[in-house]
Amino acid sequence: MKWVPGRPEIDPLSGQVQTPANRFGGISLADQSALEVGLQLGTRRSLDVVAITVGGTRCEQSLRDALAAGARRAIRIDAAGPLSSAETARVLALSLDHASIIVCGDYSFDRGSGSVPAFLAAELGISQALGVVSLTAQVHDLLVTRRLDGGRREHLRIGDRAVISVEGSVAQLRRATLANTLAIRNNEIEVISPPLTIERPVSTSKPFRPRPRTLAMPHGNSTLERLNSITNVATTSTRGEQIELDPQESAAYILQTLTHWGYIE
Amino acid sequence: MLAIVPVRQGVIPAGFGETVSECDGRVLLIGEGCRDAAAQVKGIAREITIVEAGTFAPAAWARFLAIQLGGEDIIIFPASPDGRDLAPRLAFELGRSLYAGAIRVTTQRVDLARWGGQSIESLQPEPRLVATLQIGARDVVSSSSVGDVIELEYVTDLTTSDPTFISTTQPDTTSVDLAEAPRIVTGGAGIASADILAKLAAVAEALGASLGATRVVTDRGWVDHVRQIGTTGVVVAPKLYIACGVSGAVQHTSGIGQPEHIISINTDPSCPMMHLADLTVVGDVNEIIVELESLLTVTAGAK
Amino acid sequence: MTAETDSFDAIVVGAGPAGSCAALSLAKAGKRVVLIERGPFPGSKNMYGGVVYPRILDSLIDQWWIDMPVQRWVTRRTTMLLTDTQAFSVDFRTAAWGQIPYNGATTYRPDFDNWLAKKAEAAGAVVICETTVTGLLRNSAGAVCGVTTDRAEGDLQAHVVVACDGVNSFLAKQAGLYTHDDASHFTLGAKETLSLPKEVIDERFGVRGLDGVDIEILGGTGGVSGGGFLYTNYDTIGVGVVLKLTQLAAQKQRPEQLIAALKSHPAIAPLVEGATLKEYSAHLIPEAGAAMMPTFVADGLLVAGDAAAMCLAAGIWLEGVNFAMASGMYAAEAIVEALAHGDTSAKGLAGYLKRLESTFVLQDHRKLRRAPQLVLSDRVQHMYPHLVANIAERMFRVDNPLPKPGLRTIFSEERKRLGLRTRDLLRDAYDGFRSFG
Ligand SMILES: Cc1cc2nc3c(=O)[nH]c(=O)nc-3n(C[C@H](O)[C@H](O)[C@H](O)COP(=O)(O)OP(=O)(O)OC[C@H]3O[C@@H](n4cnc5c(N)ncnc54)[C@H](O)[C@@H]3O)c2cc1C
Ligand SMILES: Cc1cc2nc3c(=O)[nH]c(=O)nc-3n(C[C@H](O)[C@H](O)[C@H](O)COP(=O)(O)OP(=O)(O)OC[C@H]3O[C@@H](n4cnc5c(N)ncnc54)[C@H](O)[C@@H]3O)c2cc1C
Ligand SMILES: Nc1ncnc2c1ncn2[C@@H]1O[C@H](COP(=O)(O)O)[C@@H](O)[C@H]1O
Repeated sequence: MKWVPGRPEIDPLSGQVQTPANRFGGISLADQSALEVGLQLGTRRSLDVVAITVGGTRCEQSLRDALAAGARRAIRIDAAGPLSSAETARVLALSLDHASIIVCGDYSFDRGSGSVPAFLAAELGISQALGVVSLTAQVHDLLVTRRLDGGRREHLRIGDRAVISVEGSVAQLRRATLANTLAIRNNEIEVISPPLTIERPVSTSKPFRPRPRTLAMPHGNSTLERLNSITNVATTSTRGEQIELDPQESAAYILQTLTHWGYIE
Repeated sequence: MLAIVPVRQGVIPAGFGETVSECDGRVLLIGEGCRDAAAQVKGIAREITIVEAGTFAPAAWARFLAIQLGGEDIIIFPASPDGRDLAPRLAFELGRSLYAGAIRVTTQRVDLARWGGQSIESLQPEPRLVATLQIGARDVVSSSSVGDVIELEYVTDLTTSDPTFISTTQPDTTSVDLAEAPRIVTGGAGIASADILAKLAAVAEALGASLGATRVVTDRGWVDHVRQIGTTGVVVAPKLYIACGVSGAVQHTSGIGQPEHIISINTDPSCPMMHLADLTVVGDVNEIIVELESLLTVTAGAK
Repeated sequence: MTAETDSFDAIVVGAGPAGSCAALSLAKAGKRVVLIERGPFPGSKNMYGGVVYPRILDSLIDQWWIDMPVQRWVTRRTTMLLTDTQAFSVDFRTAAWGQIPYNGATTYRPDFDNWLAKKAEAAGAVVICETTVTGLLRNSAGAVCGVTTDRAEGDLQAHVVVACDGVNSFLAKQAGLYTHDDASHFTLGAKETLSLPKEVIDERFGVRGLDGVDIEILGGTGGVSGGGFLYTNYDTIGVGVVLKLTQLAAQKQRPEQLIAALKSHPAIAPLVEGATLKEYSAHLIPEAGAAMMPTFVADGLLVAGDAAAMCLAAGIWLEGVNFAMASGMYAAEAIVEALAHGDTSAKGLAGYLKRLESTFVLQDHRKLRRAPQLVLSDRVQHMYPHLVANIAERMFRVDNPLPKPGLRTIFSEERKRLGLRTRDLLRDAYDGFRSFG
């Protein structure tokens, strides 16, 4: 592995494209945002930005795009099959022990658990700030704001090496210039093939359906009353009404329904 | 099975009830203000352990918990922001597999939500594991028997590294208006452009409603991220909820409360959001928004 | 600023069939060529009816059928005349079209165009996507010498530019190659892709394996002049209409309403029953053929494919992809010639026109030049389907105890009933014979 002199800044992109419809796939908006944040930090601090991804040859287009947008190097860690988050982070960490700041996206397209960045921080034994919605780079520190639940926010200061994961809205990935796009097209993407464990869990996939819920004991003295109260037959619920009309008729129907429900006069 | 719930300033995160119920009432609270928090979980938890550990420090807490909890086979966190941060670090410390974004965890089977909640993957778990449970994935069971509250003493491991905590802020006013709004109109990925979203905002205003969005839309940068509704966004409680081009992923629907009336406009009649709605409108939401806007401006003009 | 990293022999704008064949052919000749496409990948935004006739690729891609993305090979072709309640069909099938060297295939454009562009890339062309060409660069002598794009540092220079940017070509217009710009020269094509299980398609259309059906339809588009089509893919079918733009606008009809009407026609409904809508799309078609073609070359510029109105849309024929591929290839050959002589002026590129004229590209258009007008005429659209269908209905109806009438009697009675003048009939027959015969 050849390292450029200086402290590289590393930006893991997810390039996982093993999906059903994935000619349209690529990297998540969060990962695009991560790349942009990385590029901006790189400019501000005069650091080299490296784009790195674990995946098959199909993610090379994303890496090329990253180079065209301004990343200094692009590394693909070769993995033919799906890896667990922990394994992904383990192999990423092998190439990242020089990185000062690692910017990840807050979710990848498929797994979307946002756990790779935390595993990565654990592997490297450095701090983490995940789900970042805004950040400011100061001379030495990074000030970041994380999203908590219920609309709350946490404000943190990051001094040394850290993994941060950013939301898609933090930054919009710049458009590469045509000159760059042409210039990088013959650049090599560095490929590393460390030994790794491909995940082969026995699993089945099916469309999402919510878990059944236990209903509260229905009101009513008789069985019939209880049944009615569960099924709502006495009330005039319209739950489940479906329409398929012209746009104009649909709009009119929606307003009519809202009027019927008493939301508009 | 043990639920671990991170606590901030005595506030427990969304999804703690589901997690505690999944673990049959056994919970460990860790963070700041756990004693206050313990009082809040009493109706649900029957066995409570608390660790007063100060402000959120995932690396240090994970190290501490790993030492304490080696004997617990199944550890589940709520998939709240803090839970999702802490779970992988603990899994790492314990050298176990992480099952992230689960909607069901049993010793026999784990169901995971994938592809933004569009599909479920079922697998047979390893015997010892760490998982995060989706908020709203199940119902909360109340428990009448309450045992003692046990307190564990927290010791920081100085070799770990966490960011420096500055402060936590409460929701800003722009999202409060959403949290308390009685009527909400939400735009999802079915919205084709920022222009259409602007039209939707106008429609919302004409209906006296606030505008919300799914993560896909906030990520596109079309509205501010404070308008994101769901697990990681704001949790809202409107009476009327109009979902426009929203598929109804768990992470989103867990944040919409229990509206009295739901309208869902979508091209796909079988997506989860349509199952929840009182009125489902099958069609191109972009065209319908344009029509709604013109109908509403015509009526407004006539008044 | 100009991208100085490379200088190119040629820039091809638009990675449709025309552009990819031009780039492939240039790259194979060892020329430095860049292919610029505005979509996220070649073919991403492209739509059409559904059948490609790829034989022109014989000289460009060895054994193209081996890896070309094919849905089905067309082995059955039906031409249907529809009135509101009747259908008259001519049905032809041959096993020959299901074997090498094949005839036509149904394929999805995003797959096909992407495949073709990949071939160009493999031959050495540089393919740049998500980049829109916004204008032409000219040198001091006024010759085209490159393009501007919507990216920063996005000017690009080359000896020749090939405009393959599709119907209504912005580049050809900017270069002043179109002298007319008239809505009556366009038709609008609109199509629905419907899902059906493969076995159901096999059964309904009477085909097996990868064999498929191409149905061209005359009539059935209500009051708007036009036609329809129905093609089978592997597990979807494409149903669409091609409509005269001016009438569509005048009658305030929406193309999707007309597709819906076509789908509910008694002859079509059983074929599409129970299918679910996957996709709807619409696109302009240069319909007037030879009558609207622009000048094909200027100094440093060639126009190919739909950009040069080379789509053949003449009633029962709807072919554009093969014309686009051929013209792209011929443009490339002319460029190679011109570069060898060091003359890329209009004169130096004249080999392009020669090739077009000596091959099917312009010969078919010449031959069929009256066809579009004829096919879209009121008589063909609104009277002949009735005439033919009524005659057929009476021929095959058993009106016992009445005896069977003679064909001549039926014909003249039906002609009179529809108010058709013999003179017009004869003229149309003559035109038709000259065009199609
Ligand atoms: C840990 C975690 C936390 C998350 N937190 C949140 C959160 O807080 N809030 C949130 O919203 N999401 C959250 N998500 C993301 C969530 O999983 C979904 O990806 C997201 O909610 C999907 O948004 P959507 O419905 O807009 O998009 P999609 O799922 O892409 O759905 C778009 C819908 O629009 C329909 N559509 C498309 N075109 C049209 C048209 N022309 N007319 C009508 N309908 C159309 C489609 O049929 C589809 O149903 C989170 C995910 C994870 C993993
Ligand atoms: C409804 C319908 C049905 C049809 N059915 C058939 C059929 O069954 N069989 C058949 O053979 N033909 C059919 N055709 C005709 C056929 O689609 C066209 O003739 C053919 O696609 C022309 O190819 P092209 O390469 O010239 O142009 P296109 O396929 O239109 O490609 C033009 C390319 O240029 C790109 N582009 C445009 N402007 C720019 C720019 N400024 N910068 C960069 N890129 C640009 C576009 O994105 C596109 O990729 C049909 C057409 C329609 C509309
Ligand atoms: N295979 C991978 N290669 C590089 N980075 C990855 C990979 N998988 C996940 N990541 C990073 O981790 C983030 C969260 O991913 P996930 O945990 O899969 O939701 C992504 O946004 C990426 O930045």
